[in-house]
Amino acid sequence: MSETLMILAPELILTATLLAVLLSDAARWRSFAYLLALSGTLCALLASALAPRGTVGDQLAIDAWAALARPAILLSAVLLLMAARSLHDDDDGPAWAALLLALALGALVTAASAHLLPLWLGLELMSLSGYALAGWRAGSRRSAEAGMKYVLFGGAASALSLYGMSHLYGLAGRLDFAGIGAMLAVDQPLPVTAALLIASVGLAYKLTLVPFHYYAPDVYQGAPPLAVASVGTLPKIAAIAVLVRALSSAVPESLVSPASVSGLLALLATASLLVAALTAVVARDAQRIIAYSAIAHAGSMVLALAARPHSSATAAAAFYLAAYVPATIGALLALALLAPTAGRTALVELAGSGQRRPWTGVALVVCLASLAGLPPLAGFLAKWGVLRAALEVGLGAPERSVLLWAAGALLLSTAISAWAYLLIIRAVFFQPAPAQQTTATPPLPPGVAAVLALCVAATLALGLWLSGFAVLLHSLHP
Amino acid sequence: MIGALTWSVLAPLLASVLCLLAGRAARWVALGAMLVPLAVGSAALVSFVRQPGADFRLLESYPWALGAAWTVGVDGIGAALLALTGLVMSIATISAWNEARRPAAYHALVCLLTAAVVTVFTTLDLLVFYIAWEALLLPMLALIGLWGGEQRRYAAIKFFLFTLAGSILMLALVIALWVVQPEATRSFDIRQLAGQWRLWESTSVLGVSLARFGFVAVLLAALVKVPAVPLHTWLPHAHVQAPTAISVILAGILLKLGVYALYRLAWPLFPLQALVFDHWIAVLGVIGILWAAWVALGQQDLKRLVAYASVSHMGFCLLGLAGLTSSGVTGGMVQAITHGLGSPLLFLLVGVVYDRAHHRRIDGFGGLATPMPRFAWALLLASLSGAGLPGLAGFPGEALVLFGSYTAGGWWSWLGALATLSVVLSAAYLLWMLKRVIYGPLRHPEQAAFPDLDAREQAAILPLLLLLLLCGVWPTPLVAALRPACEALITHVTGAP
Amino acid sequence: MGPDHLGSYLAIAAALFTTGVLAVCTRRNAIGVLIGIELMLNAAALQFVAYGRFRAPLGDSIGQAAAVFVIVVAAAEAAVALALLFAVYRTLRDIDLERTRELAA
Repeated sequence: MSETLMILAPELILTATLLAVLLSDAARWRSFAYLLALSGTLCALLASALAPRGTVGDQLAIDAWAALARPAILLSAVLLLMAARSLHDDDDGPAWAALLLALALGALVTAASAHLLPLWLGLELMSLSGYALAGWRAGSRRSAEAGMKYVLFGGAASALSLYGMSHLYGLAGRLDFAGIGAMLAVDQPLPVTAALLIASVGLAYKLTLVPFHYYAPDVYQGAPPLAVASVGTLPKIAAIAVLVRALSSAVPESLVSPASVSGLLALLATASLLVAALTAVVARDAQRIIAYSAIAHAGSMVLALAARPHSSATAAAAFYLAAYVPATIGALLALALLAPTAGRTALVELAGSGQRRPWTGVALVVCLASLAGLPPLAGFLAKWGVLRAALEVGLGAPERSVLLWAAGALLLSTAISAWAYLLIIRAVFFQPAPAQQTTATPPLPPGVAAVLALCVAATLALGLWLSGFAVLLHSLHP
Repeated sequence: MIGALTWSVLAPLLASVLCLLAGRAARWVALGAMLVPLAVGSAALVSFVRQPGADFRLLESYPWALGAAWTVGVDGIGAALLALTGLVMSIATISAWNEARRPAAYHALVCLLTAAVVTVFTTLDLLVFYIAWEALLLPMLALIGLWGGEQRRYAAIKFFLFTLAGSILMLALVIALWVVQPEATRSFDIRQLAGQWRLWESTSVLGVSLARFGFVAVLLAALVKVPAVPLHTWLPHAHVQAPTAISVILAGILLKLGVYALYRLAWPLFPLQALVFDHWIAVLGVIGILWAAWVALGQQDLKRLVAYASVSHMGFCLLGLAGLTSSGVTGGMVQAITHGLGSPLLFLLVGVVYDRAHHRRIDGFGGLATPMPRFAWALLLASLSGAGLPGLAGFPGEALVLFGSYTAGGWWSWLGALATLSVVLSAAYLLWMLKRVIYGPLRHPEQAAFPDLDAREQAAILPLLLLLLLCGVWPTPLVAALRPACEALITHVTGAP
Repeated sequence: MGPDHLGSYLAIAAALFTTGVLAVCTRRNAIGVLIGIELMLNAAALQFVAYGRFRAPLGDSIGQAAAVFVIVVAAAEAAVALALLFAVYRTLRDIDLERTRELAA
């Protein structure tokens, strides 16, 4: 029993913090809410670094992936809390902190789940807090519309996924990944495969994979930037972590033909990469472009997973996340600081904003360049890892040459979406600011500035420290 | 112990950080940093002049990660291009000495650009080459987009997208060459890769050989940068909108990157493909030579004229490289170097009149020789060099390339004959431009008050002018330094089948 | 007591689910869509219980547990969704999905 407590220490600490933050609201200690949340999350982060690996029944498994994903989720949560603390006033504090903590808790549960029920619960916990974050800005049409779209599309996807899970339960008699894998090992009846596919819709939705991506542009455009940074990063880490576990235990390559699983993943990746790039170039809103970037990058990560069981495939996905998360958080924070009117990030409204805050603009450029995959930034190495895994497998085995096409799609998507990122840079730096804006720029809130600097530093460091990739590879395949 | 070549990268890199802290003193920091590659490159070039050889000198190698290594070294061509980079960057810094808009950021970006370019010219590691090749795009985008003219946004973005799209396939190539090697001996070392070219000939990617795919990938990236017609359309915009100093860098250094990529990657790594495609590349070169010269005839804007002349002259590099004769390849590389002296000079001179007249229309000038005699002399020499007059630097490269084409015989002689036509064309557009700009009576009275070249302008122009004369009168040392490396390349390629 | 074979439960669940999907796809009123989602969730919950009763090995109560979780989460989801719809209604005076579109490329 105490063993279980030790394994789940981060989740338990986070739950306790969540309750404490909620109580702080009731007790009118609002100004302490963020401090409470931050210190709790830091404790959980510490615990996640120290906690032993192991399993909790057949439901949760802290394996190599969860052991990497948990600190990553908690670290991102710390950054987001720090940023929120200096962007929001005290009145919003407890509620925002509580929602963010719930989102992080959901991500932890999802990332560690080895069973469909905790997986669904984790996804729902992330969704419910995400809906509220997206619709946060009271009185804003766009924020409210974003929240409404998110909750309706998300609810439908989650219900569909649950229906698939219930069929899987009936057909396989089990809900844990290993049990489903054992069942598939004997035979692969069509109903089970179909139920499995329907059940995975919820994950695809969280990953914003085409064709379950349609909500993302609207939600990302309308929601407050910090909410986008939260729902765009934490669920991604969790979903990739659980996807790797599901693929390796529920759909083991030794039992199911690797070409078919990898073919399906490569197809999803190709569709996401191309659809996102082609639609991004017509977008005229910075946060909407970030949404298309999220879709394309999800495609890249899934492409990396399609190259399994090659040893560098999962490490490539992990590194991709490590590059994607700070760049996305940094870009959105920079946009939040640059936008002259809060919540409006249309390109025309950003015109010339880099002249008001040049350093924030430079940070934005670094983050966007990393998302575009330019060397020597982290995004380049991430793309390098994915391409390497895909080409190595695709060139090695003729029956998996679909990976070569997907790699081609990745390159094409990179070239096209560079245009979309350039549009943002052009608006921020190259276009003149409207004449009437002569109001003095308020000083940069120190908390946000610190988080932004950390994100930029991570983006640079991961790009220049080439051996980081090798270290990740080693930790995943000791 | 860090060696000289690594310092030539580190110095501009450190300087770019220092520039941001230095404020007004940034230009001194930048100039000091540029002198490092200039000194190292010149020393290496002198060593190749004294002891010609096809070997790599100043070699250094430090293991890095991902299989890449920081391996730097220069052969004769690398040494010459390194020296040229140092020179052109110093001159660009001097010509932007009085940059008033955010000078610290400007010089920091130029330093960053220098570090990337020097890395490309000195590295012998394919992955590092690619990283540096792509990394120079962002500083260039910012320099054109922020310090450029009226339509700078369009020009900057066009430049960025063309060059990015051109090199995107190269990333796949870099990785593919890595993964097809046997696991135990994988390397990104270009010298080692060149020895394994049979491996990619025998690997198939979606129906074509990896070698063909790779050759086309490098070719595309290089032809955009050269630029070869019809991939050249970004260049006139970029030149016209860029500030003078950036035009100087663009013409003097960045165009050489394309030729260098062909020389360093495309030919050595894919010798069989080079033999298959060489006719096409030569034809592209000749089309570029003639088409750009023809278009230059019709230009009204001085800077556009010089830009198209630049495209035309770079065509000789392609023709020479494709011909695979000793004279041709050497001539192509000599042309790359001398063009790196002549074209920046022309852009500097255009910048001089633009600073005074605030326009660049050819028909808006006349008789400038009267108020500005030193300027007129410089423009005369630079133009005659561009027209390929013997005794000036434009001559040896073009002559060697044409000689190479004639000796190759067959239809190569016809290509050579066609390319020779451009000498007439370039004489026509340059002399016509000279006639209208500096000769004749002073057509615009207000131009009588134009001051002649001041000390700073002379400091930027004189070194180039002297080198132009030196390379024209006595090209032997330069040719001698470049020839062994070129002949080694030819042996490698023609010995392949 | 209800019918004692799996098929009829599955049929009811399928009918519920189909109704829910149709509502989600065709309703223009956000409340209608929300009701559709709830129907889909309940179909899944019903199926969990039915499979747990007929298919699961003896002593396995995960089906029932799942149903309880689904009911709780469905309630939470309805609460969040209604709060958001209320926010939309307060700002737009409308919850028709066709008429509340401002976010677009």
